[in-house]
Amino acid sequence: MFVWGSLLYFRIYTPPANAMNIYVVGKQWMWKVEHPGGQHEINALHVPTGRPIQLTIISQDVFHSFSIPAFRVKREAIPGRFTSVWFQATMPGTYHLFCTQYCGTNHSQMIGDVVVMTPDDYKKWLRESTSGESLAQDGERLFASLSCNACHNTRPDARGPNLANVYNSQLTLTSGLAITADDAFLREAILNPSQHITQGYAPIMPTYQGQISEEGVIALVEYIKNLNSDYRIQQTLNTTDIVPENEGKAAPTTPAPAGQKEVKP
Amino acid sequence: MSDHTATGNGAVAEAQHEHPSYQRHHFETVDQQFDATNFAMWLFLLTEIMFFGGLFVSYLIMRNWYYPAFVEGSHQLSILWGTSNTAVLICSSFTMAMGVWAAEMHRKKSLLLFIGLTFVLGVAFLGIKYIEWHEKWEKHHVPGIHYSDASFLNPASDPEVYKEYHDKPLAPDMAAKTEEYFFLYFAMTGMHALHMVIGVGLLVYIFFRARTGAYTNGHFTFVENFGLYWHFVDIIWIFLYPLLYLISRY
Amino acid sequence: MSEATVVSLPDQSTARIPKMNFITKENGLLSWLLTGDHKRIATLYLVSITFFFFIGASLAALIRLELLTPQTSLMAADTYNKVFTMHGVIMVFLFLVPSVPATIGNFVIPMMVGAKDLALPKINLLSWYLYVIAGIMVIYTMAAGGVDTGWTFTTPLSTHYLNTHVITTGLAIFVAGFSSIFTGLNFIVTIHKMRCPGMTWFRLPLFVWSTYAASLLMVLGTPVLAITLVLVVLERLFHIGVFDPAFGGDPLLFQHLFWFYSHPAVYIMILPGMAVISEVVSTFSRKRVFGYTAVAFSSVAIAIFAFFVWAHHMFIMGISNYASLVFSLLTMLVAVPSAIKIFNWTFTMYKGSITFETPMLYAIGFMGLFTIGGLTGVFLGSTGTDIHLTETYFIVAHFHFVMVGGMLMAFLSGIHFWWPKWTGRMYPEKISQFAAVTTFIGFNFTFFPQFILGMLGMPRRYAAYPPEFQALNVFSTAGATILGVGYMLPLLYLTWSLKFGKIAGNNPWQATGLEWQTQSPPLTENFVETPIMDHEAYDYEWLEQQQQKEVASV
Repeated sequence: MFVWGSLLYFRIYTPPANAMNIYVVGKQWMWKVEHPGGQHEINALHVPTGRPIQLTIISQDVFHSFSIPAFRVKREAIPGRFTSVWFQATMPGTYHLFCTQYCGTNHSQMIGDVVVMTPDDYKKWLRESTSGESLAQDGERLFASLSCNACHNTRPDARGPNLANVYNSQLTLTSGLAITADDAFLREAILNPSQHITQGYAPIMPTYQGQISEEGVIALVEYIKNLNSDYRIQQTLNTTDIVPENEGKAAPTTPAPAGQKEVKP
Repeated sequence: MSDHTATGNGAVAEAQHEHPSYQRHHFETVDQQFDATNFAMWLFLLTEIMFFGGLFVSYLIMRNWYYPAFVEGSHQLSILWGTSNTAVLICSSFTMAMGVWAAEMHRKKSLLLFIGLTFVLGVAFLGIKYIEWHEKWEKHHVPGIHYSDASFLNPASDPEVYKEYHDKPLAPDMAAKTEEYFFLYFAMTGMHALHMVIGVGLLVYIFFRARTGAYTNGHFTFVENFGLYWHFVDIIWIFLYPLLYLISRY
Repeated sequence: MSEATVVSLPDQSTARIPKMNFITKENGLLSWLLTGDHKRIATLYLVSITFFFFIGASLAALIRLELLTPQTSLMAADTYNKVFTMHGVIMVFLFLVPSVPATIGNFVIPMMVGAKDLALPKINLLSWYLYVIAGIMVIYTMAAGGVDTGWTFTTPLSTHYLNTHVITTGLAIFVAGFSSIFTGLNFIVTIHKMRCPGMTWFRLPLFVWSTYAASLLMVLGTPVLAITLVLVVLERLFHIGVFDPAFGGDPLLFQHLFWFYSHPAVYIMILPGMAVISEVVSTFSRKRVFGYTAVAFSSVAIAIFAFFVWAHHMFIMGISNYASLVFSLLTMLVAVPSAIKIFNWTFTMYKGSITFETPMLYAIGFMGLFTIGGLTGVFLGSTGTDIHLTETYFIVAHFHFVMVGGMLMAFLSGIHFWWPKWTGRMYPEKISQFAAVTTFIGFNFTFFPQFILGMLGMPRRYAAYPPEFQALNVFSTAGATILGVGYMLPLLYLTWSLKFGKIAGNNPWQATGLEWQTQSPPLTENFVETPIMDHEAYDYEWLEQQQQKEVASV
């Protein structure tokens, strides 16, 4: 029983590599969901069937807990750090979404619906509810407006490291620590920069704690994650990337509408 | 049969009062009383260790997270005052041990002398602590009230500390974490000082009781147990001192 | 149920309560308030704990009433939060933790080890006063507007996001914590140093062993909670701290420190319950507890394991997967000593001559409910299933099965069992049997539906819930009313029996513990002369021989 339970536990909390990542921010007393395509939802989560969905969860204030009983999925939303969980929906329908960690007055109002759709419906939904900008594009706008690019650029005399391809790369910090630049690292480096200085750079970056919301941080992280070679290309990222055409078993794939398709890197 | 026993009871209870006045009558012998109270004191100290343990754990975790802030924060502490306080406490432990010895040897005068000395040293410790805290107050290093991290953003603005350590300026986010250091500094030394205050209060009580000869008649359990408490408070300081003052000095 | 009974009462026409006993020794309020007598302090505790139990229980009734409908109909969400928080705080810190140790334990432990009193009577009294101060602070908090953190005080919710009386509640628990530290400390010292001649460790009744284990937990666990709450209070006061990530703190650190106490705390609550059951089961089966040594050491084993399982409250909180693995394994290990106890009690009953007096009915109730509570604990301890079940009504049901079904049953069992010793009078047997059965039925009606609710995913601490859960909630509320009757009855008939109960005599149950060999109610000094333990614990043959001797001598 112990072994079985533990295997299950490891499986639920270790997302597969090809999972689609959706960000969830808990806040007194609502769930804010950020799709990579820039769709925002409150107290609702739309997902397609037949695809592993990874949720990256964080809280903006106190402990919350993101729970979808029907999928046997639950993960605490902790202020100040990312947690993640994954699932794969099989049946279209509407399911309950609860906050299960007591979080204050309207704890019991912090509920919503998980809407599971067929991949086709999902694509339609994505198209209809897009805000016109992907999450990464939001991030890019922030990146520019906070003047991050004043230091983090490709010029040889740049004061900050170039962030292209930084995601998932091995970094050596000034403390000598070798670390993988994952979501959590990127987030921390924005909020508490001085502990996360890459070797060879001066600790001059100001903290952005309290200046950007959790959604802003998420947008920035998403932007940095998608920086592949240089900035320009990234603008071409768009919503159609979210549901790649080469899904394993989705046979009757309709070609994505032409309008959504832009130049891919 | 219950009635049978009840009638004899009063007389029996009276008859059992053939023991020294300081023996509480639920104990069979003085030795048992001594053993029991002594054992209780050790258990209590165990509780205290767990109590401070929580603080130590928090300190170690935070220090690990915000190492530079904790290093520069500790530079603000005066090693001179810290060391002299350690010396004061060790001396007071010595006089306390001598006090217990004097009580055991039925020497009332030396007992009074040593208890008095311990009291003076205890008060001296608190006095020095006050000086240190006062300095923090003036430098705006008391967390939560009017905290300022200027000394860490620009160490040169604090010439006394600067000329000794030549600290580099901390990045703003790290400098803010020095407040965390001072929070724990005040929580730990404050909790320790609270124990000292209780100890000093008890010393006054012991002193006046000792004047009536209460502890030099062979029954010195209270003095002995208080001695254990005093040494314990001392030992806590022996841990606090390196953690707060020394560990990240150079 | 057979008519057979073990009860042997003295002839009611001639018997009377001994004139000289701990109750009649001195009169006046002051003689009670300044007493050092462990039996009087136990009585004070009994009165105050009962008081807080009924406050906690009426809050529970309010919760159940509110949950009758899916909407927030009876009270606002905010009020609901305060009610369940106060219910948790009062029940956990002011009832469950001190219930058996501070009342029954206080009353019987010195007698069981053959001592005149606890080692430190003044500290004992002090701990009662601390308890009362804590109680007053909690009542003040309620009067002043309550607190709505949940009894777990999750940071940073408790430190910066609520404007309710977190500080007074925190300090109340701090004070109550010291009350339980002192009680535990007193027990340990007494058990170590005050045993009468011949009372070796393995002749101690199992009650003493279990309470000893619980006391160890109190002494070592409670201070960690105390310092944690001090930090929470400081953090609230100075808006800086070690637990709120907005100030650079670590909220998980709070969870670790809190559960380091609060997991052992549930063993502080249940171990004394197990202590009572060992006594009762043996007495009413007329057999020595099967595997005495195993039961004794299983108590200590539970106490030791208790310190190494705290992180199972945090499986979904993002501790590393491998840490979960270790804690899950350790959690499952706790089931082993618990199971040893259950099996040994069952074997004690096997081929015993069982009679079903009220304490035994409660004890059997305990064994059934605790087994269910314990087994569902394994589902929660198993990491995979925990993800789904935690923070739902499954947890609520599990906790109440263990605590209410276990501990409260044991408490009532113990109260009935030692009532004749305490007051010198019997409680009315028929109505109390009725109450025991009512409690059992009401309890199952109340909490069993909650397991199902939990499986379906209804989250806990919800003032309003989706309508499809209503049926089971109505069921649960209905059960709670039956349970309420079950709790009111003992209060009424026990009070009645103080005046009108039958005279109990020294040893109505024909039990073997030293406490039964003295008069009821006992003398202030407990024994006329220091007893000498010359037989093993639960030696019913010895008891028979004693009685034959007495008959012969008369």
